[in-house]
Amino acid sequence: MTSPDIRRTRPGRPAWQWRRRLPRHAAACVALIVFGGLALGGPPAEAPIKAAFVYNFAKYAKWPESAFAAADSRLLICSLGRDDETRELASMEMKPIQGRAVVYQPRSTAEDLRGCHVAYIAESEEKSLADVLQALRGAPVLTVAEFDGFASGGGMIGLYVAESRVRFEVNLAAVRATGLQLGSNLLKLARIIRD
Amino acid sequence: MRSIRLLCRLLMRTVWASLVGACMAAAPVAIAGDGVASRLGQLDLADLLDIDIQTASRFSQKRSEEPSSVTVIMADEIRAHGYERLSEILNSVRGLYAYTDRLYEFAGVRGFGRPEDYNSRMLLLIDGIRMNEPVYGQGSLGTEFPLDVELIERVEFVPGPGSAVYGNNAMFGVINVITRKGSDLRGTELAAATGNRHTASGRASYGRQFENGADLLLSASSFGTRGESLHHPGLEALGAPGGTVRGMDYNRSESAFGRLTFEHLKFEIGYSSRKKGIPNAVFGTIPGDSQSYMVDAQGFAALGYERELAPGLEMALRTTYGAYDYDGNLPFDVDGATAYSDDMARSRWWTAEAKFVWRGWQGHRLVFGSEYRRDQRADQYSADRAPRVVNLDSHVSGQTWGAYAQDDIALTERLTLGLGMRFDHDSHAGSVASPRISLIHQPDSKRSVKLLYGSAYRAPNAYEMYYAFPGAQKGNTRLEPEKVDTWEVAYEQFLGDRLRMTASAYSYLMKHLISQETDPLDGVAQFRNASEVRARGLELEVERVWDQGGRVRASYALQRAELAGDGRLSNSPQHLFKLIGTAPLPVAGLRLSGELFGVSSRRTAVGTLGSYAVANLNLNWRVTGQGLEFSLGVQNLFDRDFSVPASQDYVGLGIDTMPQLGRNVRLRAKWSF
Repeated sequence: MTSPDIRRTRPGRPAWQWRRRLPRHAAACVALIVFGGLALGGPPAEAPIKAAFVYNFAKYAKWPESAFAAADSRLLICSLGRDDETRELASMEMKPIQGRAVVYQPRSTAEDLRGCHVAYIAESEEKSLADVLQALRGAPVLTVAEFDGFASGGGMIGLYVAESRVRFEVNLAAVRATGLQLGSNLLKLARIIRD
Repeated sequence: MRSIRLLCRLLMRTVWASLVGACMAAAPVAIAGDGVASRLGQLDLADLLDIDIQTASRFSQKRSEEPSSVTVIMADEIRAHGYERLSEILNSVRGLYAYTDRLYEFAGVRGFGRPEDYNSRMLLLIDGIRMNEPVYGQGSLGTEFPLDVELIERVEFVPGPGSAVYGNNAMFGVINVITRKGSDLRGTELAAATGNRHTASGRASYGRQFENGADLLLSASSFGTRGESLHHPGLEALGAPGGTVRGMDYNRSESAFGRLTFEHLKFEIGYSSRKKGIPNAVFGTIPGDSQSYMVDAQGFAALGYERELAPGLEMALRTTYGAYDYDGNLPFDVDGATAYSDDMARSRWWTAEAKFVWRGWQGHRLVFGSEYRRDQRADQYSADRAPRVVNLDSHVSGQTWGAYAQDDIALTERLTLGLGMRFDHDSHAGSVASPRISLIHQPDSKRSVKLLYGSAYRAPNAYEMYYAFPGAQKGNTRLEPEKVDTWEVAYEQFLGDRLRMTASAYSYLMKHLISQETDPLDGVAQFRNASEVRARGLELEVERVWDQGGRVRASYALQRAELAGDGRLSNSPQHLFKLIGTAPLPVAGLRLSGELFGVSSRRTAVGTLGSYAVANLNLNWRVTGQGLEFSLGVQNLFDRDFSVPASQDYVGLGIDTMPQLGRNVRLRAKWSF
């Protein structure tokens, strides 16, 4: 029969008296984590990166001639609804793309997104997605959103997060149905959704 | 040893210094952060894809729809904490406690940590594919698990009875391991690690999505360690000088995994093999004999087909094949000479499953399906080598047929009633019905109250029924399945987007617990259906996340499991305390993560073990834009010496406690390109 206290017999190592030492270690651990969490350092948050993606997609898209009134017409990036990304889009510095000035404009109804070149659909509009897509049917507007099931539900580009990085998926059928084209440099970086 | 202590002290000082620095640096960094965002637009798409972001700011909303409080551990947490084995991931889940007998790894749950059950009371799935095999019902949680943990996208743990959907083994919980997609790797990943006790490991993975939409993931890993020495006074009486066995806790493992999805088809294949030295005199073998080892090899292949048949009707079909081989080379002392014995198990099985989800009726979500499982072989063999004497040669086959249906009915916008039932017919255990009823009330999007009644079962496995060794153990073909009736109430609340609180209380009544006992008539061990076990418990958890990527999770579990007439179950600590946190440091790409576990005293077969606390720490460094990642991790930071109750396999040898692992230091590097 062995003694239940055999674990104490290893020489040179006192038994762990956690009742006494736990508070000290716990306090250290909590402090470590709380201060660590409060330290506003480290990598950037999701929203600015996602907003940068929205702007970047415009660089790789080719619209039909009819989408621009004139050779020097502006490229319109619009949004519907509000979330962190729309706030970031508003403050983003947008350099000209394909020789066209780029302008960001928030819109308040889905119908108003017609005439835009890129439409970012905020998470607040997730529930009315079917209506939004219906309103944009056939229009050469590159639709982008970050909520689950956007691209598989008929949207064009869905942003998502995997492995702590922002990724995107493209519904090719939805893009092509409107006469829009996406460059191969974009497509080879995307997860392609079929059906 | 001294150098390691020095290293740790140095590490701790560095950590504290950087903490102080963090606090001082916080304000200016926050201001500087503003300008960065507006310039991000000038980066190229490929560069944007390489930027690490903080993802901790959201909780998975899916949790609240399950009838119990689901825990999801994501890949970024696995990486942040430097987890190497599934057992370490599960140990971070509230109410679970992992331990090892230095041969296999186990997880106890809800007060049940039967030291000899090979995790057969939890169902282990990889992408929904059952891993528990038919001889021992074993779910492998250590390096013999056929998937490198770096290939995990997330681990979902659903506590409580899962038999109403999954059938056998899903008594106390379902562990579903979801693998990464090839498109998430976007190329090649090479990883290598080294550590104390001559530990080294490596992995090569490749993943991508092809032009035609096919998604491929291929990976191979290997791991080796010399292991620690094992000291236990009981080993001295069995022949180990000073009660210490050196050099026999080694572990060499390999694993490979592949996955291909194309349109509606999905093919997965996995394999692992592990050779483990025997440091602990299991079964009465000679401790420290250099030829004693166990080899566990397992593999599976699965082909699935999923598609939407009609609007609102989804179908999933799958067929799987599985194999598990165990080989033990066991040295026994026969009249002063060493005689070897071959110990073996062989199992082969295949399954065919169909599952449908129907959303066509307003307010209903109907899931139904059926499963056929054929255990072609569940064989056990044991023989002395010279002179050749066969002690056990058991060949068993069997089959199980199951059908289930579950309907989630939206009674009102806020109240959902779940009705589920599975019926199984097992060629050994007979017919078993497993009902489940749940009621979920969500007064608003931030709160939910769940009430759950469920019944679950586990059929006796081939080992419990047919393992017989002259003079040591006899079989029992009259074993009945274990059954558990459970009641649970759970409450979950979100305070804003950043704070989550969960509380649950449960009461379990287990009947026919299959337990190894000694027949008083002949002194031979046998598995028998014991009397009732009643378990009651309370689990609390608070989780806080920060936008900048910090996360803290604290949990407490109070559990009390009692065998009728025999008091508290062995290896069933009454209190479990966990504090788990991760936070980015204000130096680009650095992240510090730590864990603290406290476990209260528990009964062994003959005595009581004191409480203990263990701390782990991991420092991660991702080199932005280079695809490089380094981490330095220390498990059991303060090198605490603690033990857990040993199973019946050891108690008879005078060993009722099993020392756990000491401090382990790991340095890892990963390169993605």
